[in-house]
Amino acid sequence: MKFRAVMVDTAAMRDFMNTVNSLSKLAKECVIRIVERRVYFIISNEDAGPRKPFVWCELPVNFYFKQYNLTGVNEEHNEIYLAFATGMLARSLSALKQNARSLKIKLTNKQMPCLTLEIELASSEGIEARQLIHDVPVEVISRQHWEDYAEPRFNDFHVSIQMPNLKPIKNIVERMKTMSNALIMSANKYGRLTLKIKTNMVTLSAHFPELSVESFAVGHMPDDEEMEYESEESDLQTVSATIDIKKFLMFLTGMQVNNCKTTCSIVQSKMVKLALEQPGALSFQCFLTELSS
Amino acid sequence: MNCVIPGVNVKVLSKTIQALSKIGDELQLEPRKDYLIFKAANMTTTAYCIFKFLDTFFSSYEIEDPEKVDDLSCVIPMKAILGVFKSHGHKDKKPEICKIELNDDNKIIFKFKYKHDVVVVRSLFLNDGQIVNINYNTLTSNQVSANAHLFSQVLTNFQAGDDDIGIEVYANKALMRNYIAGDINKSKGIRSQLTLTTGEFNSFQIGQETNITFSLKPFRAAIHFAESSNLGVCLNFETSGKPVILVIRNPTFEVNVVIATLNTDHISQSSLSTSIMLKTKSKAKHNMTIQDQQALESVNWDNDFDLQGENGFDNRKSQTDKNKSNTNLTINNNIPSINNALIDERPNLGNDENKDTDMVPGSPESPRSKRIKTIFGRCYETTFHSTMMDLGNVLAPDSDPELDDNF
Repeated sequence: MKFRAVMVDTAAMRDFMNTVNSLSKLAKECVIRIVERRVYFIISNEDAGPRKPFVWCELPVNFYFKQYNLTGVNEEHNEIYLAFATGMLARSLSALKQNARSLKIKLTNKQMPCLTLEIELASSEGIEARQLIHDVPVEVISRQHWEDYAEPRFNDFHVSIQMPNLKPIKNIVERMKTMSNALIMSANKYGRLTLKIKTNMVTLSAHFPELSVESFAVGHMPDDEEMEYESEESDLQTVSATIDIKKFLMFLTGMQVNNCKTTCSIVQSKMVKLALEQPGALSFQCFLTELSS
Repeated sequence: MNCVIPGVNVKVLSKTIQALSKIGDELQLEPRKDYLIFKAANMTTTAYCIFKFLDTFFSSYEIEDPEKVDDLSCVIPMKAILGVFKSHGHKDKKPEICKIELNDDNKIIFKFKYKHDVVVVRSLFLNDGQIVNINYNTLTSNQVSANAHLFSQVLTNFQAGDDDIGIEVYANKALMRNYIAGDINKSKGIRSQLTLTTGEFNSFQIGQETNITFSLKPFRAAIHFAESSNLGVCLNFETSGKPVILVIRNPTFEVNVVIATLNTDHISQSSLSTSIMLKTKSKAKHNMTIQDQQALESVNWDNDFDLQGENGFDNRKSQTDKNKSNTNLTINNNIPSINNALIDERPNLGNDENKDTDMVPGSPESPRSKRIKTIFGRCYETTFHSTMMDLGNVLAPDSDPELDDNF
């Protein structure tokens, strides 16, 4: 098994650092899957029985790396799966903030398997370079467990709607969190996204109208129970799902990646998928399943 | 003793107290004829810090009876004095002057004068305690100095949980790395290493290439203090086992911080733990498929790992075997072999992209485990002594039976 990759572009290094930083806010442990053209970061859902991903993040190799060498387990399975602590990698990469010239990532065996990060820093005088090496211990995931980290394929969403700017949403959801732990996310075919909490005392909802709808499955009709709740809205064609507000807030706080297109897809009473995309550089998917109450 | 400190220097004094509080639980105050000494040492006296404020630091400095100046030395509990200087964070409450009074009545009085003639008086009782004096020599073979900002930047690359820092110096560069004490196989920490070239330092005089390891906490405290006053820091050290002395100088005061370094004569211990490491690693493989294991074993993790790394491990293994028979001999062999390996791999770092080395020298013991060994010394001694088994030596000859016959 061999892996070595070199990054020299400042923007790429910054994006990479931001992505890892976001991951560190979402979970303690993460799996990196390295294949020929892509690098994946996968966070599993701890509570789900059969492992379902909570976060699926995909980075194209050609955007980030100038050099990229990979030798997997064998030719047939030219992949490497490693588990690591997100906090450690994020802290090690934080040195990239100080004027880094290049970042080299390698898989090494230094008494234990490590991801070695070699960072070349320009010194304050700017003439001579400092060499910084961090060894982040990793765990190699054996092939029999690879299937736990298979790519999620869902395409039967009832609605996909583009999200507005995440920052105001974060402010609203933060306040909602103090009152309830379940958030009802709903969207209709006219591009209205609604975030709602319900308690015995109060029902609070935030509406974001006139968003662009990417797809809407016709023929879905809410059942009777929901019709009561939604009756105040003229439109009955609303898809909604109840999710854990904490996890949604984690996603909103974690995602400090700029100029991304965010899409929200909902399966009626099943799940919400939040997809962040920076074309050519990053694809980030977060799966929030229906809260069982 | 009476002294008055101008407002600008009160901040320096409060940073001084903060730095000293990181080192010891007691502050020792020693007035002298024309300077005042603040110092602290930790319990095990592996770190010692001394601040010497010249009379120019004060707007007035008076000693009533220069003959009896030794009687004025006193010990103040650190927590108490930390409280005295803590409340200066408020911007509108910056003191104009601070007056320190120390008399024979077992009390020290701090008077802070603020705007509008507000005066805050704080008096502290003194502790009974002994003044620790440590002799050291700042004229050492290795002297490295740089602005505190450089060291502070270096320290940002280490984690908050790191206890020890290792500095390795060569004629043209310095390597700084963190040390993970104790069981390497258990710890899951990040190992970091930073290479600095001589150009980054203000002066870089290496008389003897060496590798020292010392505690980060007092080092951080000293660097933090120096950075707050934007001063230079000079590191004076000789070799492992000898203390490293940090010198921070200003026209009105001087700071010396003495930190004990690890004695790497005990490095055989760490090479032992490496061999344990290798065993546990093979254990960890059991949940992998055979194919995985083959892939792990057949392909080298990196190109020239087999060239140097495995040789290094083999060396160590054979030396740990030797350990069993002759401990003293291995200690002597071990150090040069590791040092050689290090020298071999360093030139690769910068230029050759494909040549990466993975030989990690074992961390020398931490002061903590060393302390355990001094207390539970017998537990670490070998239970077998050749002298115990030496049956060939005749201590007293057998009594001669023939003599009996003659009776």
